[in-house]
Amino acid sequence: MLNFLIRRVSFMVISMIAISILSFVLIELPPGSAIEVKLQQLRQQGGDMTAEQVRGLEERYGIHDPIQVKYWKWISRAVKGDFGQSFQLDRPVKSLIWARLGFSVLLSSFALVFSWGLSIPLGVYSATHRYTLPDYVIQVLQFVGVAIPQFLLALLLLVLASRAFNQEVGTLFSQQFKNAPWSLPRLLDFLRHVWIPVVVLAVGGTAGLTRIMRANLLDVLGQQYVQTARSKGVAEHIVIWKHAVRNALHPLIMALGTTLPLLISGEVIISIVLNLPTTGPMYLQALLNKDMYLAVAFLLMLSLMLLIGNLLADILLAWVDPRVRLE
Amino acid sequence: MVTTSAVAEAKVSANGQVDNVIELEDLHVHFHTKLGVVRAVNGVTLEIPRGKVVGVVGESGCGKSQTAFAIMQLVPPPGRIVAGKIVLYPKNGPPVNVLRYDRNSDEMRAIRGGHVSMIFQEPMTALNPVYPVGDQIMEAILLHQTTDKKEAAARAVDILGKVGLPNPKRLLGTYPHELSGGMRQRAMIALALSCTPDLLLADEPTTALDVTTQAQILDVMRELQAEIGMSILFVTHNLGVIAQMADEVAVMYLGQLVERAPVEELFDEPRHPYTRALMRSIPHLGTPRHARLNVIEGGLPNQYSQVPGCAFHPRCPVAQPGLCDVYQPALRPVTPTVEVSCFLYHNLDGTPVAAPTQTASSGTGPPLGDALPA
Repeated sequence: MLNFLIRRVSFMVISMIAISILSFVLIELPPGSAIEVKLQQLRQQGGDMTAEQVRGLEERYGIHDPIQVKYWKWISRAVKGDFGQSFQLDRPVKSLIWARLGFSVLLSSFALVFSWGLSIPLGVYSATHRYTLPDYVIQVLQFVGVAIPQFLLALLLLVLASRAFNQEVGTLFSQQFKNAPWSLPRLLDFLRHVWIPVVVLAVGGTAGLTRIMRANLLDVLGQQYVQTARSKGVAEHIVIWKHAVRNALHPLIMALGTTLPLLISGEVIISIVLNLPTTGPMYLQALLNKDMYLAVAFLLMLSLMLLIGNLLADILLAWVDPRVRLE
Repeated sequence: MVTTSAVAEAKVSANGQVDNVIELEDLHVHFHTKLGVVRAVNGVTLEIPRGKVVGVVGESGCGKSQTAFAIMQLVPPPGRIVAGKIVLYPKNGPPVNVLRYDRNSDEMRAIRGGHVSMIFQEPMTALNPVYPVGDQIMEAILLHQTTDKKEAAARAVDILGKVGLPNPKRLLGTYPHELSGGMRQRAMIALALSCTPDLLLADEPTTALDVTTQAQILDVMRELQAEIGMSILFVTHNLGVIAQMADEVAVMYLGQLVERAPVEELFDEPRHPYTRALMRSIPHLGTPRHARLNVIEGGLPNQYSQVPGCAFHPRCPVAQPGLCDVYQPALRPVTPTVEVSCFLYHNLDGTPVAAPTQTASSGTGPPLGDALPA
């Protein structure tokens, strides 16, 4: 297992290097630079810069350096945790991301726990009560959950919350708590707001995972060893949870591996609709504005999350199923 | 009611003391599907004498496996036991009317694994891939025999040794995928026998194994059967295996028993036309290379339909029009030890046919027919 881990981690390092080069090059590729974008905005607002000023800025940010020089300058600082400066916002990338990452991870983790905690029992129930009324109800809800666009659900919930519960909606905090330090009332206020984005984020995933769980468990329930367990006199709920479910978890675990990047980028649209201070909208803006250091930092983090997610999934899988344990 | 079948004799022998391990009476298992009702087991009456091996043979889909599953109340949905009676006579304890219990009841679970256990056709998939072999055997022991984990482990090692697996102690922690097919089937037998059941249901336990392994597995089963003194219901379509394993044979066709005989008699003189056709269809060494193999003409009828009269009559070479396609023959004794359901041996009113034309040995004399209308 240790060997396996060492090998996997070293592959991850190589992958990260490749990804960093690739994403850097890709973002450099289209013509135009962040300075041009900025200049345009300045002109729209009626201001201007002299050619000298522009040249000065270009020099300072090394706009005309060859790409490998730029990459090297950037990566040698990035490994030390310095991801450079955002052109657009004129602040260090690091502080920009950190300020929003907490909420992103929190929201998405809530959603993840919510959808897993719900989809496994629902899927199991649905599979063990196939073709009964509750199964049909669960299935219909699944289809709705998979099919409904997140932004629409977000809007619906906003209307519901403001009309029915008379609740202030959008953002994560009420006005008076927006910039207050953490305290119990602030936490309660946060919890009152957070359920809408969590539900919106979780619904699609829950529906999908429930379907996977149901289909897979049905498959496993037809396996001989389930009948073997029953023929030993094992109680039905133990047959299901101990003997069947564990064998049906593989696709869910693999799905978890690819879910991790969504912790950062998954909630772009909902964050815009609900006006949430998370990383998603910032990532989008960075890409639109060619704010390359910010964008590349995001890309790198997404890739890292994907790699870590897959590593975690592999470890989990090995824990669940002895057949994938190596050596 | 005077019957002279082997089973009936055994029943009476010990002062009316029942000496069967299980008795099935008029068992019906139906599968209700959207396309119709499949009558997988259609009125099977069968007794298994204590300490004997009863082989059940028949084509695929004739209901032999479902009969075994019914005893455990493990018929897979949408199958259901719609009628019949199953009485189990445990070694120690009063007779149990199995079907009185709900399939998920504690009583039923005590029977499964405790009194009746089962081994399956596919050793590759019969053990759960994510738990060590030892855990799976100990699970059964902990359910039925002891709550002490150490003792359960000791028993598991013991039984793994008995089925001829090398280094049983190490095997406890081994996963199924690390074992060969033959070893897995041995482990499966160990699992089934770990609680010394009264009855073992063996559902084609050697079909998926190569011939050498097959012979070894059969040896192990025979040995342990004698040692534990259990009975075996041995389901197979392999007549060679039946000849080697069984004391008695029940031949099934379309959910019904058509012949019941001690194994030597069945092979010496198969009586029912279906049994004879089965025997003929076994290829023999020494037949010319290009000679066509014997087959049973025709195929199984649509599973949703019900054949009027004798179920075999559409394929039967000696079917009697007006009789076999109208009336259903009942299983009746032909000799003291053989029962056949065929109008070649019985008239419609249950009396034996005067001069049996199809059998050579009628020396045992006409059995006393129980004069029930067919």
